[in-house]
Amino acid sequence: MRFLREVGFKASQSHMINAIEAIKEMGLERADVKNALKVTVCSNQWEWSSFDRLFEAYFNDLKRKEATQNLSKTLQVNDLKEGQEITEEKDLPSQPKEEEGHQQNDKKTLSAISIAAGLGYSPVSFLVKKEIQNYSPEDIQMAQLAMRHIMEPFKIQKTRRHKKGNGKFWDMKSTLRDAMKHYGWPMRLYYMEKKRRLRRMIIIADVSGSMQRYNGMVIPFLLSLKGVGPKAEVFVFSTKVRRITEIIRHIPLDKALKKIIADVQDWSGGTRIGESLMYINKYYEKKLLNKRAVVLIISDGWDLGAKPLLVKEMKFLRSRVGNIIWLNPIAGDPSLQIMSQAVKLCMEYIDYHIPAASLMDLSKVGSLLKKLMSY
Amino acid sequence: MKDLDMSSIDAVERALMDVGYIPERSLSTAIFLALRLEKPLFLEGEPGVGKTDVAVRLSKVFNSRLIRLQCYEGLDASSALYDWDYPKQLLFIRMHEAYQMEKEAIAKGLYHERFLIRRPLLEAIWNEDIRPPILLIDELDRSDEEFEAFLLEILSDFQVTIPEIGTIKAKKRPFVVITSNRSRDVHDALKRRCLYHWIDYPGLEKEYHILMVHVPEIEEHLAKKLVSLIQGIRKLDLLKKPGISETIDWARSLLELGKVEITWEVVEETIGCVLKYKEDQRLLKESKEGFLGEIIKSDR
Repeated sequence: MRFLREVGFKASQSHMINAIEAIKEMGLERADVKNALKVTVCSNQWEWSSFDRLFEAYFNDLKRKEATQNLSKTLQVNDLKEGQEITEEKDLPSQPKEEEGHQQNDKKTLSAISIAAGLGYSPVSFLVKKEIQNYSPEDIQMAQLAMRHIMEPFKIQKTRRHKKGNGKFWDMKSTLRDAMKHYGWPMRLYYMEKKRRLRRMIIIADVSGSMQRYNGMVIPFLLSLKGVGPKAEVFVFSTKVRRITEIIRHIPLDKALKKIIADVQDWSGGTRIGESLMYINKYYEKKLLNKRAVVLIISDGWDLGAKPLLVKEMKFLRSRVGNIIWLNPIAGDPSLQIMSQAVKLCMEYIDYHIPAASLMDLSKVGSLLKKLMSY
Repeated sequence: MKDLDMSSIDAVERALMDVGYIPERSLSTAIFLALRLEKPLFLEGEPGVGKTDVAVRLSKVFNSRLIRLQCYEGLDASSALYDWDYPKQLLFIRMHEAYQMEKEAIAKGLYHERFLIRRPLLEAIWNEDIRPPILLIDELDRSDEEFEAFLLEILSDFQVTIPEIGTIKAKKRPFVVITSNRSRDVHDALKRRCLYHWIDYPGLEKEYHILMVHVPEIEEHLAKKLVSLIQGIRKLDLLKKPGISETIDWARSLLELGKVEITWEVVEETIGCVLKYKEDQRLLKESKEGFLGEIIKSDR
């Protein structure tokens, strides 16, 4: 179980107890024991699909170390390679001693405990104003935590349809309960009102070459949307568009980045905003675009595609959705006084054009989204 | 459910196959363990892979009642557990007032069992059947977190407290199957109380066997080609991949139309059985010259 936890499984004490009880019911067939452990230990699709390989690796001592190294390395956040202490000994020992356990934690400088504790540390407040292109790998991890904190007011949750209030729907239950005080005769009528619901959010993030230095902001922002709920959709584009909603929703955060980069084949390529919007308008119009949707475009606007196409697609998008927000990392940069031509052409279709060069800028996004996202 | 004869994984597998469900070995293991350990079974997977069908088939295996709770956004205790029949209660009050009954008697009779509307969860807990029912909580991911927390409490103890009546504890624990389409993450607190199983799209051979079980009148070569085509369609970047139910629907449609061969014309005529989005249908048509065209032309 420790082995599984260290490669990213959620395996808890209750999983272990279930696993032990399950094995007692099994015979000696290896496949059946494996299945029994699988159904008791796994709790999502990623764990389910990884389990077989890990099981074979664990119970085959010769291959275990190598398999764990390969799995851990392929699942790590990309920035860990830049300056993190990845040593040859980074694989998981079979029975780590207590003193070595602390050393392992020191080596894994981005362990869960230190990340979680990072929220209360001053590095977070220091990051708030720091320019995002100057982030170090440690800063990126801290930014990710801070992003969650910033987005907290805006956390999308499913809500119930009605709540007690002064609306026009009669609340029978409360009326009769109150009537008990008067031997069943309803003396006061209670009403319900509709709870505010949340709109759909569609994020279209530019991951082209010009945005590469802002990936430290864009990626944590996208990953912080994990708890956003079923109505959010996330796309990344460069020369082509790729939908990454499922990756963000279902894969653990520290593994999602590698998966995103692996899946998006033209990462850091050229920028074709118009073509990308055309693809989304064409293939997702019926499913996603409606007046209750809010579109959030994250791009610096350095577009290589045809400008008439960009304007046409932006106009179409604006006619289909409720609001369009454009987050622009270079908008607040005084050295770049001339806005990119793409953004200038699209300004009439954009409701909010917000600079997004630092975490402080992004905190404004959280507040704005909180205002726009409910109806 | 320990008193039922499901003494091995093989027995579970055979029992399911007898009622027309072809399970993976891992699913049979999960069901076997869920019966033995008396834990709910949490099935996750893409739409149309047969999650709900597991519960339906199990109710046939055990010859017990299937109680289904379809989850949706806004589902709360009054829709899932119980509610009071307020219009009847108001009539009761009115009638007894007309007959000038004592007010204390009215108050006492107001929350009698006859005014209690039992919803699926209470139905599953408070039942007098010989065999405990199968409780299917379908598409839990459509409900909200408050309902999940409420369900946690129910699934822990299988008892319910109705303030006006008292505490009702299940005499025989129902077998619980929870399904999710994974449109959102279900909380870990609920999942760890269950045995988990991911149901994936079946492989070529398994899907062929499933098709032959559900549509036995289809010709073998047509079934093989249809299954090969469906497997190929799933490799496309679709908004919604066709599930097993779509495969079965397509086969039945072809039989109804009297088609004995699959050509591109037939595919285009009947594509609505398989792909339910215009964008997906367009993508399929664009793949005509690719490997899908090869599958249709082949003699396999």
